[in-house]
Amino acid sequence: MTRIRAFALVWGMACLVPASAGAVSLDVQGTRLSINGYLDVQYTYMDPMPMRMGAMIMPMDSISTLDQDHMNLIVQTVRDRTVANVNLESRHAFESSVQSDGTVDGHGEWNVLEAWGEYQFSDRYQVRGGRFLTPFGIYNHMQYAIALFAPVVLPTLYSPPPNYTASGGIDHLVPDEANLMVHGAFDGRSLRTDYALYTGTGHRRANGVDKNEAKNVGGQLNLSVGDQMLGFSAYWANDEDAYRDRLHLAASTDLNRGPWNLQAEVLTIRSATDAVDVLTYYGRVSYQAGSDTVFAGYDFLRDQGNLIYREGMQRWSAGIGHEVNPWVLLKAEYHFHIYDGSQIPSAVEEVHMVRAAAIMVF
Amino acid sequence: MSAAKTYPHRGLGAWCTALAAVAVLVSLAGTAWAGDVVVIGNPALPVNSLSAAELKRIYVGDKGFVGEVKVEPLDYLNEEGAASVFLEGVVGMNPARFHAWWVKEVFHGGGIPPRRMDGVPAVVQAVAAQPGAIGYVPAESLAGVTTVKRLYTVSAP
Repeated sequence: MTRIRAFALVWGMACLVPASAGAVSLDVQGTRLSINGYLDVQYTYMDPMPMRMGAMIMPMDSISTLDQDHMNLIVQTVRDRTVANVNLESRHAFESSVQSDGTVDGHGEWNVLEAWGEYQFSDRYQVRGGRFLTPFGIYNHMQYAIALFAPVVLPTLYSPPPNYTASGGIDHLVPDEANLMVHGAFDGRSLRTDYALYTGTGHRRANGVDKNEAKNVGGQLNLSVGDQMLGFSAYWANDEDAYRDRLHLAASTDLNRGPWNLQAEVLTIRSATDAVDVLTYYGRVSYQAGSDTVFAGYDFLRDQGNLIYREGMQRWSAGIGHEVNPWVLLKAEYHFHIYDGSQIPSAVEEVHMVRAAAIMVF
Repeated sequence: MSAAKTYPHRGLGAWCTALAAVAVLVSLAGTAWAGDVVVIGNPALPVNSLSAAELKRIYVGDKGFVGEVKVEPLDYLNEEGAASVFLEGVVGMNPARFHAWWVKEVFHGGGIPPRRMDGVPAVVQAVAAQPGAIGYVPAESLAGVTTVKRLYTVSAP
């Protein structure tokens, strides 16, 4: 409890800083160094939900947590056409209770989420190398600052439900990271075309036996006319495990008219071994009135290879966000999950969830 | 002999007063600018004018090159009055919202915000010295200045 109070105090003080200080920036002989930060604190309540125990599905305990979810520092160095970017991330510096499966991520240590350098030949051709999140769909390239741009609970595409990572599921529905990318934009009189082509060497994990995972090739094409965007993403990965080759395909749209915004996305994943057969999609409508934004959304996830999601999970959402000032945002949401399937215990066919977050950026 | 009294909340009150004073001073610092604002560029730029739409794309990071020249937009550290005229007139955001928007854009995947300078003379000097530099200044500050190009004029509202 002392840690929670201490963190609340630090967060409150931190919120006072950005209004006067802004980002930290330093210019030395044509080289610019700047530091930006992101911090959020979240409260989550979730009803008992289905959990896989071997070949059975059992109800899991309800969850109620107060959690520092993400804390990111982006250190950016710019000199002429060259950019270097390091994204440091710390998660769960405090948490009022651990998840029911006993796991937490990190407990406050800092990790390098991204580290890359980029050379800009022109608006049309830019080359990035290092380690960075792949541009895939609408949110993936900014998934570390999740609640800033999106509802606190991301669409299912980006944030697989709990229990999804056990055998029969895959760790991430959208790709994690890549190492080399060519990207840019062709700006016509009315149509703007953003593209990205990337590849990644994957990563090694030690689960008893080292194995390479997610060696990948992918691309994205976004077509924009004014504030209206239609995008397509493709990602192919080769894993040295049961999934072998898998192909992710997504289509996205982001449409704006006055205070209204509509986002929608659909993703399908197929694997050569048929171990993965996923269809997921979402749509969200939001309306902004001054510093307040309300939204309503719908999610669907079906995975033929996963006991819980074999016949699909639907999620209805509604929420509100309030901008205290340009640097401090408050959000609150309600989510209603419906699990379909004869093996789902009746007690967990419908799951209610409430989540609230306080977010600060500088 | 009486025990010394303590006033645990007195320190807090003083802090609140000090914060309020700082807030008033900060709000007074950003005085409004009544005159026109001129967008200036380095003479090495391959154009003699830019449209409002092009300037907006440059200042929000959608356009990084003019011809083969890498452009570097300049902005202000403090709330110069000209910032309100230019940012609201061309970019469509007030200065506070523009700077906060850029913070979010940095988290959006590596955008590069405009370099923020300390005052009008610093902007004029940087634009004159650096190929590709673009800035905006009050029109009256350019009297006698021949080292920069005048690319666009934003009329005061």
